[in-house]
Amino acid sequence: MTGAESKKVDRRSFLKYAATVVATGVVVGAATYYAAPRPKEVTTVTAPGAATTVERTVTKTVTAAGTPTTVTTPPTKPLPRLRAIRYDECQWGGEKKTYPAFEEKTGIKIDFDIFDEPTCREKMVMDFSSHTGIYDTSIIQYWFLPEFAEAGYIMPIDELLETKSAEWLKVEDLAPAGMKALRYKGHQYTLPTYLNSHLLYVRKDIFEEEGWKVPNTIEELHAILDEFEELKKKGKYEDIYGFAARGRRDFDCFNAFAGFAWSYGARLFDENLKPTLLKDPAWKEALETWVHLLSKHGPPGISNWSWPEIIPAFDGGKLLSFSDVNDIGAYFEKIPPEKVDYQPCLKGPGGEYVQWFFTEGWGINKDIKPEKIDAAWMWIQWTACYEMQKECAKPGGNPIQCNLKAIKSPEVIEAWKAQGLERYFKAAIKSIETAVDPLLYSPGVPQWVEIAETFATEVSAAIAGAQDVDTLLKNANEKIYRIMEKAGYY
Amino acid sequence: MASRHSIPLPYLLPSLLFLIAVILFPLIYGFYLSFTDLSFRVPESGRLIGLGNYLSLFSDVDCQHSLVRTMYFVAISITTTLLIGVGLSFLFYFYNPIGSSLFRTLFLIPITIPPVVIGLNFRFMLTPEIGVVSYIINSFLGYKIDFFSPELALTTIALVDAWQWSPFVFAIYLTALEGLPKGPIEAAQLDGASKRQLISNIILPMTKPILLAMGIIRLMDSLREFDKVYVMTKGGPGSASEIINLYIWKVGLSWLDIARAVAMAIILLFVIELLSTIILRMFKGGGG
Repeated sequence: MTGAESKKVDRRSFLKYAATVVATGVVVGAATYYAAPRPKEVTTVTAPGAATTVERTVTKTVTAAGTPTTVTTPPTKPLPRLRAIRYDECQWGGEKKTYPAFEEKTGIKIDFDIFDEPTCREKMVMDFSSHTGIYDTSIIQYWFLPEFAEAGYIMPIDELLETKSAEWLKVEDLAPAGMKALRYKGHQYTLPTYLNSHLLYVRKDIFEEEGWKVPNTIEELHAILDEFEELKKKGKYEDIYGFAARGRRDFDCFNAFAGFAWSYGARLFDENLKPTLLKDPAWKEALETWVHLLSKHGPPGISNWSWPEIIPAFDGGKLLSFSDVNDIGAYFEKIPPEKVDYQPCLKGPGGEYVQWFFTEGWGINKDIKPEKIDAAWMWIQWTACYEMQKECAKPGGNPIQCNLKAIKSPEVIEAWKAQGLERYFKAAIKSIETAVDPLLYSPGVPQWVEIAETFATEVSAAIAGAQDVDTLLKNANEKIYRIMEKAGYY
Repeated sequence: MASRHSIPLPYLLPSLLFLIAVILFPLIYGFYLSFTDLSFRVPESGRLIGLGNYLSLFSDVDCQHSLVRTMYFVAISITTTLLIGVGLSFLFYFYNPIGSSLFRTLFLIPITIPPVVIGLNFRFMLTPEIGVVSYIINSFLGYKIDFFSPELALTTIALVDAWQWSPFVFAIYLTALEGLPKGPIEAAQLDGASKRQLISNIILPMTKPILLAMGIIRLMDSLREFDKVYVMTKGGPGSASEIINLYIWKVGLSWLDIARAVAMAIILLFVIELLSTIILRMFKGGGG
C-alpha cells in the first residue's frame, strides 16, 4: 500500500467516524429534549373582556372578547398545527395582522400558503379532488361554495356551531346576508369574514357645482348622466366619463349586472331552475339600461374593465360616477374624501335596491384529520369574532367586515372619522344592511362559475357593441339552459 | 453474448424511464381521461363515455370559434414576427448601423421578459383613458383608439406577441446571414444585382431552411399562447380574443370539466402535429 493510499483511507475513516458521532449526538439530543420534564408555565395575557383558558402542557390564561370559554386539550397531546390556503386580498391584511394574537391566545399554529386568486382556486381544487389533505382549512368564496359543498370537498359546520361554539362568538352579530350566502342545501359551511355590497360613488364636487343631488334611483342617475353628456358636448368636463362599472367577461363581474337587474325585480331562475332571461321582461329592461349606461356613458374599452381599471380612473378624476363594491372607498389615494359622495341605496324600477354581493369564509376541508377539526373551527370562529373583526375594520385593514357589531363600534367609527372617511364608512355600513340574500339573483348551484362567466361574456359583448340586448338574452338563456340541462337539472 | 444493439440499452434506460414517466404516461393517461366524464365538480365522475367529449365539441360553437380565432392569431403573429425579424436582420446585414452591437443586445430584451409581465405592461399602456399609449395618441393625433375593442383586441395581442418574438427571429436570422458564403453574394453584386434582387434571388433561397425552421418554432409557440391573452383581455370583450388555449383553461380549470378540456387539448395536439408535419414536408421539399 502506498503512502497516498494510506492517507486516503485514513481520511475516509475519519469522516465516517465523525458522521457517526454527529448523528448519534443529534439523536441523543433530540431524545433528551423530548424526554425531559418541563416546568408548567403559566402565562396570562389580558385583553378586554373575560378570561378564556387554553389548557395544555403549557397553560396560558388568555382573554378574548365576550364571556369565558374553556378550550381543553389533553396535556400530553401537542396542539395540532394547521395548514391553510388563501388568496392575497384586502382581508388577508387584517388576518395577517391579528393572527399573532390568535396564536398567542390559543396556541394553535397555522402555516398559510398565499397565492393569487386563480392559482389559489386551482391548488384548492387539486388538493380537494385528489384527497391529498394538504390543507386543513381553505378560504371559500361564496360563489365556489355550492360546487365545493356538492362535491363533498368541505364539511358543514352545523354541528360545530351548535355544540362547540365559543361563547365569545356571537353569530347574531354577523350580517344575515353573509350567513345565508355561505349555506348550501340547508347546511352552514363557514362563517363570513367580510362582506361586499353595492355602493354608487359620485364626484361630490361636480355634483355640487351643477346643483345635482346624489341620485336615489336609477332613473335619477340616468337623468344626471344625460345632462352630463350635454355638458360634455358643450366642452365642459370633456375628459371625464359619466359612469363606469365592471364590463369585463369575468365571472366575478356577474354580480355587477345581476345585482343591478335585481333592482328591476329580475331573478335568474324560475321555480324549476330554468333561466328566465327571455320570459321576464325585467331582464330586458335592466340589461338595456345597463348596456346603455356603460356603452354610452362609460369610457372606451369599458367592456374590458374591472375594478383594477375603474379605481385608478375614478381616483385620477376621469369618472363622474361608478358602481361597485363598498370597500373600494377606503383605497383611493389621490382623490380627497371631500370630493366623493356615496349612495348605498340606489333604487331600481322594481322597488329593490341595486345589489353587488360578495362574501367569503374559512372552510374545513373534508380530508382534515379528526384531531385537527377543533383547531380549524377555532380559527373560523376567530376570523368572525368581534375582537378580530374590530381590529381588521380599522384603517389599514379592510373596513367592511361581516361582524356588524364590530364595524359599528365607536372605536372603529372614530378611526375612520380621523381619516376624513366618516361619510364613506357610514354609507358602506348602510349598504351592508340593505344587502339581500344573493341567491335571489345569482345561480346558487355548483355551476355558478360556468353560468356567471357565460352570462358575463354575453353582456360584455353587448357593451362592446358586438351584439344587441335581444341577442345577448337569447344567447345567454340558451347557454345557461344547456349548462343546467347537462348538469341534470331537467 | 449480448448483441451489438443491446449494449447501449442499459445506458439509455434511465433516460427512457424518465421520458416514459414525464411524457408518455401523462399523454396516455390524458387520452384515457378524454374518454371519461371526469369533472372535479362531480365526485363520482370518471366513468368511460366513449367518444362523448369529442362528439360534443362538434356542437360546441364557442370551441369552434376559439379555434378560428387561434388560427387568426397565429397567422398575424407569425407573419409580423417574421417580417420584422427578417427585415431588421437585412438592415443590420447590409448597413451595419452605428452602435449595432448595442442595438443587438437591446433588441433581445423582450425575449427575456416573462410573457405575463409583458401582458400586464401592455394592458395598462394600451387601456383607453388610463394607458400611456392611448394618452400619447390622443394628445398628438387627437383621436382615441380602443385597442381592446372587439375588432382590435386579438390583433393587438398578436402584435404584442410579435413584439416579443421578433428579436428571436432577428437574432437567429442575422446569425444565419452572417454565416452565408460570401462568394455567391459578391458575384451577384459584381454582376450589378440590386439589393432587392440579391435578397429575392440569392439570400432568401439560401436561407429558406432556417426560415422554415423559425416558422415551425413560432407556429408551435403561438399555438401555445396563453399568458398574454389571459392577462390582457382574458378573452374579452365578449369572446373577441378567446383563443383555444384560454377556452381549454376555462373549461378545465374554471368550470372544472376536466375530461372535456383534455379532449380539446388532444385535438389541439393533433392540429399542431398536422401543421408541423405539413411545414416539415415543405422544408424537405425546399432542399433543406
